[in-house]
Amino acid sequence: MSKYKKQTQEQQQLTRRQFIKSTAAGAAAIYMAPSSALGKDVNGKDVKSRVVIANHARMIDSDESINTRSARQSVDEALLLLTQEDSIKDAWMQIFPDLKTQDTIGLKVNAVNFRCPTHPEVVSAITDSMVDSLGINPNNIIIWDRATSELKKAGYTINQSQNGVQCFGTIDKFDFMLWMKRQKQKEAGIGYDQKQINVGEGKKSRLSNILTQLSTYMINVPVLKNHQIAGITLSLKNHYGTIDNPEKCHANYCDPFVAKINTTPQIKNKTKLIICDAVYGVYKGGPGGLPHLKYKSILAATDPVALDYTGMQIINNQRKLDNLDIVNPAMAVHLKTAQKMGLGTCNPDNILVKKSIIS
Amino acid sequence: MQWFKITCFVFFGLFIVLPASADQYSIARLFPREMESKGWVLEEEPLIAFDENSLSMIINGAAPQYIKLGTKRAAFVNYVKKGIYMMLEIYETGYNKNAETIYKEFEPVNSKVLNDLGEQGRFTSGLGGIYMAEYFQERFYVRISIMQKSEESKKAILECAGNISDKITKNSKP
Repeated sequence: MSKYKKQTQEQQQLTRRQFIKSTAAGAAAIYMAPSSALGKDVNGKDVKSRVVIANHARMIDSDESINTRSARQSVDEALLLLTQEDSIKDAWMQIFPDLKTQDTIGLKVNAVNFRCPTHPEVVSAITDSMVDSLGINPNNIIIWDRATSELKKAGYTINQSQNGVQCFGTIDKFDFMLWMKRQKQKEAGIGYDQKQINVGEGKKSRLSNILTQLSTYMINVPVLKNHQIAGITLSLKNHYGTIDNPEKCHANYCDPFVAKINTTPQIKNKTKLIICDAVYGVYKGGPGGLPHLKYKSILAATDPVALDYTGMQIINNQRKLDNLDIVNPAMAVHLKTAQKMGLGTCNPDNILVKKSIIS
Repeated sequence: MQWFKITCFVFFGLFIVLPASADQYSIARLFPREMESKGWVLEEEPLIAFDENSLSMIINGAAPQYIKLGTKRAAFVNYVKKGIYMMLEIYETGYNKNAETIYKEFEPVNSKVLNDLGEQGRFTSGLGGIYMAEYFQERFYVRISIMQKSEESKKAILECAGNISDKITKNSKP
């Protein structure tokens, strides 16, 4: 038996043993194929969007660092719950059924708030799971966000070599002088695509070359945070770090910009999975500031709108406990716009939430 | 006539632009350069935001709230020592009251009062292994975060905070 196979089986047994609770919220469990990430099955029929939450009691160590083993167990558990497969390998193969040797998978993380970024430990759990289970060349994985400098501050090790998982930003760092001279295209780094996309209200943006040029597929890896303008910032708004001019897209509660950016084919078609880092969370004072919530969980879905809606409920529950108003639905209007644009569903009747608690 | 127009343009251009840029970079005088002699290395050139657009470039969606609360300029400085990052944020407002408002608006959970820092200061041991020191003094709101919890890092951010506070006091003297 190969080392890989044995390891996978051990992981499965471990996960099954530790799997003590599974709850289903929703009238019926209807499986949604990840290949139809946007609330429709392979025949185009509307189905419930599945959002899974893998909570791990030992996710956070006593020194507040993330336990890498627990993170890995949670990621694998989330994948099994989401895909309803029996092995991690089959789960990944369901997510990427057409994966070829030369394909590259980009992981769009969120490092803008260095106090509560997508944690490197969670991202490593995802990449390790892919490498161990799919046998993908680690160098065909790119962890990325808008700036290399932000990734470094968030604790990532930058790697642009031809060995190991790659990690770098679209630009190396911000250059105000170039920005003021409207010469952002001269910023150091791989930069933004020349082709502009329409992001609504007559505004245009350019997408990261990491997405358009380097990535065959994408996994969106956001963080659980509230947002003082858009209400919440999870998977949909994470793509403000994909475009070159997010500062131009905050009017009217970021609507319709958030949804419109996500309708771009390069984002919509390449995104095969969303894994939200909800180990810690920001439920007030976001998107900046310190994390206030230890949620110790990994959320996963293929429907970004359903995942974001579920994340909003988690934030709201915590806000209620803290005697704060819930997130104003008028601020989180981008969820409804995204639903109207066919990106997924924010109708709770059409979302199936499954939760697993690992002790 | 042409020369007169050019002269006027240059004169008024300088009149408008020079004070603005000098003012814009005055915040840089508060940077705690002393930390560099203690082994803290500037990770990159400090960033100074001067309006909502430039602030949004750096802190994204948090920017409008700071502008709404009276921020005129903000400086971001990153130091690194042995792989540990210390991030410094200085928000300059138009009025002392604005700085106090920002300080109160972003109050973290479970912070401890620091009596000898600024007009009011606090120290927070945040989730995820972060220490944070904040205070307001005159028209400045200052926040320093360090991504490691240790006695050494606590000492470093308090020292850094003290250095900036001293500079604010020094710069306000006539």
